[in-house]
Amino acid sequence: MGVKHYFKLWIIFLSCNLQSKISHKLDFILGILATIFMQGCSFIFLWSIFSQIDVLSGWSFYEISILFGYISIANGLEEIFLNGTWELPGIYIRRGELDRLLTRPVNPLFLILANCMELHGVGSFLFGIVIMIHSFVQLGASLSFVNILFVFISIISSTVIFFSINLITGTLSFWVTDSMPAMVMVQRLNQLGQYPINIYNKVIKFVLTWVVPFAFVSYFPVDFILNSNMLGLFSPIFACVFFSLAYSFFKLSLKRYESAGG
Amino acid sequence: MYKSFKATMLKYKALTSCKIQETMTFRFGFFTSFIASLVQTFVMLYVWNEVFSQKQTIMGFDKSQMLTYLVVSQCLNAIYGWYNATERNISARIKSGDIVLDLVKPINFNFARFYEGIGMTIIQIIFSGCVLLLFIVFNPSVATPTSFMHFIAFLLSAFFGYVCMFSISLITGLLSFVISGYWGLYYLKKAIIDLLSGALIPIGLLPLVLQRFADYLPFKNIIYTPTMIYMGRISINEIVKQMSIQVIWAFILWQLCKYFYRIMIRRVTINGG
Repeated sequence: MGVKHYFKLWIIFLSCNLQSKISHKLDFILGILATIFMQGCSFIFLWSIFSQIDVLSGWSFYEISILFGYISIANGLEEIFLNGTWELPGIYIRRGELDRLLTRPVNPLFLILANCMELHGVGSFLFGIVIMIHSFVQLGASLSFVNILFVFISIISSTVIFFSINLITGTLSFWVTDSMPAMVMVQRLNQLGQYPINIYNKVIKFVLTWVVPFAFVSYFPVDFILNSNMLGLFSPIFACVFFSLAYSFFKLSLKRYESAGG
Repeated sequence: MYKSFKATMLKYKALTSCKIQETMTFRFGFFTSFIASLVQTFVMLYVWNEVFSQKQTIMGFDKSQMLTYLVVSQCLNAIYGWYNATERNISARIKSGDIVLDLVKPINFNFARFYEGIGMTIIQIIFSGCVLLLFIVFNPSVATPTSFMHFIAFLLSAFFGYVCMFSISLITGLLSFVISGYWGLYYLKKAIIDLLSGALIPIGLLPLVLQRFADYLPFKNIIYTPTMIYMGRISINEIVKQMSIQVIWAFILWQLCKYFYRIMIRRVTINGG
């Protein structure tokens, strides 16, 4: 099956998802509002702090806003397109729904992702874009075409890194009874990436850079755009490496899958 | 009269102990979700450290006071965590149709949810208390309550705050009878409460518009008031006044719960049989 076929299939899934969302209209609208409010809430915290000081660890308000917007966009994208990993421990493995997917002539990971699109991620995606553009304008940064291209590519890479981390922790469910707590734990760590990593101590910095690479998700790419920190260039490479690691882990674990029966 | 009261209490107490047992059965998930909620506290701890390396005081808070505020308010916030969100419970039961079992029982629906919530809250309090204690022991900046009297007042005030918080949560839960889903509502509520209750940041630091909002809404009774009492930042007269406000809000919100219950019960649809 070629890419074209997959794309067609994906569009069908998208329209199914949309239809089911629209049947619960109010819940859907509230969901979008909620994602905006949640991002807005941390943003107001940031604003309040910067009403007291001018610079946080060498970063100005608008620079950190860009970091904020950047994460919101990547989070939103991940929620919209790649949220299915969250269903892996409970629905697919413990309840054995994975059986159903394995009988189909399509890549199971594709089905897992296409089945579950959390469209309310649109909220944090749009919020991020508004914040980011506004901050760039306020900073008076003149972005060249190459820069914009880099922002584009690195946001995609960040989304992929988010996803790969979730895929790894989700796939752990093949090996232990329930890896959901581990997933939540690791995912929560991404809050650490909302601020310049220099405010943390050495241990946390090391973990964020090399163990759970949330620094590559947000801090390094934005640091590259603003201060040309060359580590930011590694973000796309990191994304590729991380994704192939996560995917081979998933493939390997799939061989181990014993259905829950029923 | 007394006997019937005792019998009623026994029914509700059974709900509480059921919930405690349920939580203990799923303790691993509960425990990790609790730890995960601490990540935010750590991030903010580092942010404040950085801020206070530039400035001595902010809005009359010095570093030690700000860190105390942060830890106490976050611990209070953790007590009303994701795991004992009543709306989650109600919504799951609506989805599965089990809600019918709650409705046919000869007990008050709202009270039953309250006592269920208490079960999990007891465990959350133990966890939060331990975290607070650890912070006090290992971080010299985080202070103990100002005096024993303040500590008692803090506990009392936190209880009133809990009733307010629970009522808001219950109203949200009752709304999910109509909305068919709780996700959006839950996080919307959470974001608003985090901001306007002073869970993230002392209310005095918020933008002015939001401060005005916070003054007229019940949310700051949930976290801001107890935390300020803990820190001894308000006088005795003021404590009495603030607590009366808390009681009034708790009463109003509880009446609202009753009202919402009466409306929503007419619109309930039961799935399955």
